[in-house]
Amino acid sequence: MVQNPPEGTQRILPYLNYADPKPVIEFLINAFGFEQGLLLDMPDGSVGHCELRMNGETLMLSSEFPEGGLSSPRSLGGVHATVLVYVDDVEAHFEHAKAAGAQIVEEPTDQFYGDRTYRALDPEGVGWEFHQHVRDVTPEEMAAALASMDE
Amino acid sequence: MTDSPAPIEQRIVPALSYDDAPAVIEFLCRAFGFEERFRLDMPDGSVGHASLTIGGAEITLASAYPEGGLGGPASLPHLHASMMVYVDDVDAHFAQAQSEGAKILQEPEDQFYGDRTYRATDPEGGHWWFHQQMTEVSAEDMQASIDSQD
Repeated sequence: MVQNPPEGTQRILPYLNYADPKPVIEFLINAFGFEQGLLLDMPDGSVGHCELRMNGETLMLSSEFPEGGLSSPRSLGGVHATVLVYVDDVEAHFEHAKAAGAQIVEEPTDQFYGDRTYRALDPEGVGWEFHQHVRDVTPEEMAAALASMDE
Repeated sequence: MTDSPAPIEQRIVPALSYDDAPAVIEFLCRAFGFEERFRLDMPDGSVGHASLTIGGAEITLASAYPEGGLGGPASLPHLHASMMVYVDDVDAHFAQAQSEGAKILQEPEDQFYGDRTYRATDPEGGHWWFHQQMTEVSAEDMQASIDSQD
């Protein structure tokens, strides 16, 4: 029976490109807790397609393809996308990632919008934000908090 | 007091940066069928944070912040991430996007892995792949297709 989207795949997902995906895949599994899903190897040894799973959702990645304008962030001097992941226990996730050698950009911090978050980089420089929603905040409270930060 | 927007169950959420976020939000809603769920505008007219949904799934988006290493897709030599979106009717989605002026990279095609897909770009060159799964293909059959392409 065909499912659309396929089982275990949310409707929207980021598809990331890496220069050397195998160590990144290992890192995302060991440090961030993803599980290996489908992996398709190309005849030249590159990764044609890789699916990583967490909490019933999927992230996809492959080797870079500069001819198609898709490269590792390592060679771009910046990023245009980051990945936000909601986890059940952001402190435990942080401790695990740190112990596994993840480069931490920001330690767990309570944010004005009601999430506790930390930020880390993967080995090729993609930014990851791990979130745990700890407090409901209304849009008005958020706007007021933003306005007061600007002063 | 207004209520907070309905919660999203999704765990993995792409967060995108754009040089002209208001224009991209307008395009994503008009051409790709997103809805603006939530948006925080900054005093300088930039977008501090926006949440857009399609079929109950979410992306977040904000104005570029070059000081923090976050640029729009057009500000970088290449892309390092593309957005993949499952829609209910990929041909109807394509027709809508095309009629709204989206730049089409690839018209709808059946892929060896069982999805029918098309690819388009947003106004800043970000890549969007729209998918509809048509048949289920096993991992073995997918790998065999790749191996036989050589």
